Amino acid sequence: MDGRRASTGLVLALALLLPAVPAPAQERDPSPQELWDAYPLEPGASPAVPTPGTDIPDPTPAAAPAAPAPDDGSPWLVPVSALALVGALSVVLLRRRRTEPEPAAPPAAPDVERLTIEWRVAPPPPAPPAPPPPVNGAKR
Amino acid sequence: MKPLTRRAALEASAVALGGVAVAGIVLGDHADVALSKPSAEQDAEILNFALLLEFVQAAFHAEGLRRAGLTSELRTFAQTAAAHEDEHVRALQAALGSAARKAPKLDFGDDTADADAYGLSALKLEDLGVAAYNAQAPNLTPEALRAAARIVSVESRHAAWIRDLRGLNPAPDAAEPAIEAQRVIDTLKGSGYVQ
Repeated sequence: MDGRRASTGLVLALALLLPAVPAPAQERDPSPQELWDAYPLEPGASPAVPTPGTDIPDPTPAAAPAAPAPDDGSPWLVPVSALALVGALSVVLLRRRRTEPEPAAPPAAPDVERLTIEWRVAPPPPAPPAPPPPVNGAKR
Repeated sequence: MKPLTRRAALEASAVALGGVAVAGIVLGDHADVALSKPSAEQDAEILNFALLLEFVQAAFHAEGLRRAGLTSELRTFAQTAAAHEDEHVRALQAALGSAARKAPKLDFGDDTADADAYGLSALKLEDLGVAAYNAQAPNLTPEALRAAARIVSVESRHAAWIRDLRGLNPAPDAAEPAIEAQRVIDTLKGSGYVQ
């Protein structure tokens, strides 16, 4: 049980730390040079140099043009909220785990054996009726 | 082929609404363009942005014809597009009158050095031209919109032609992907063509 708690704690700790890792590639707006080099694709997509006979996906509106996120002056709000949510969930989970009764013991071997015996003594299915004997001169 | 969805239409409308607010960034002296109803003054600013694009396209195709060693259909494309862009420049200058800006100083670097580099950059420029007109179209008065619509349809044919020459689907979408006007401007800046 201690091992399970330790692994659960490790997972929760990772869950708390991961959202705090910055994602600079997603937050940085592409430069005009990058926009031109990638156009008509989005910067970061496959190279804009087409190869003969192949097509390249065009920027979609959502493609679209990945509009930069509006700067509301509080970039910390989302990660802090996520951290708070994960923290609250972890506390609830840990408390519930502490109050949970020990899991019931697995069924005893005799029960399995009894079930097996009952299965074996079940009556066999009735034999299908024998086909009627062929009649001489009957058409097939 | 992507169907014309309600979402795509809404996105196009949203992008178009934001378009006029950023047109002034490239247009220098008129950087305080407000989101407002179409007007003659707003027409002038947007059409000057279109004129800038046409200057770039016309000069690019002309230099490609001189420098890139174009042959066969790619040369035919460049000749056709260059002639059309020259006409677009003249049409926009006539529409703008004294408000028309002068041609900028341009440098295409190695993008007109050979046929492959020319073809790739021509594709970008023609696609970008269509995106630019589409982003600004709802901000024009009906009279200016009529003139712009006649130009953008030809730009779209250029884009389809060069796409086909590059081995790409000439008409990949049922609805033109909506690109924010600011992104169009940034992308054009990224070319480094306008000095």
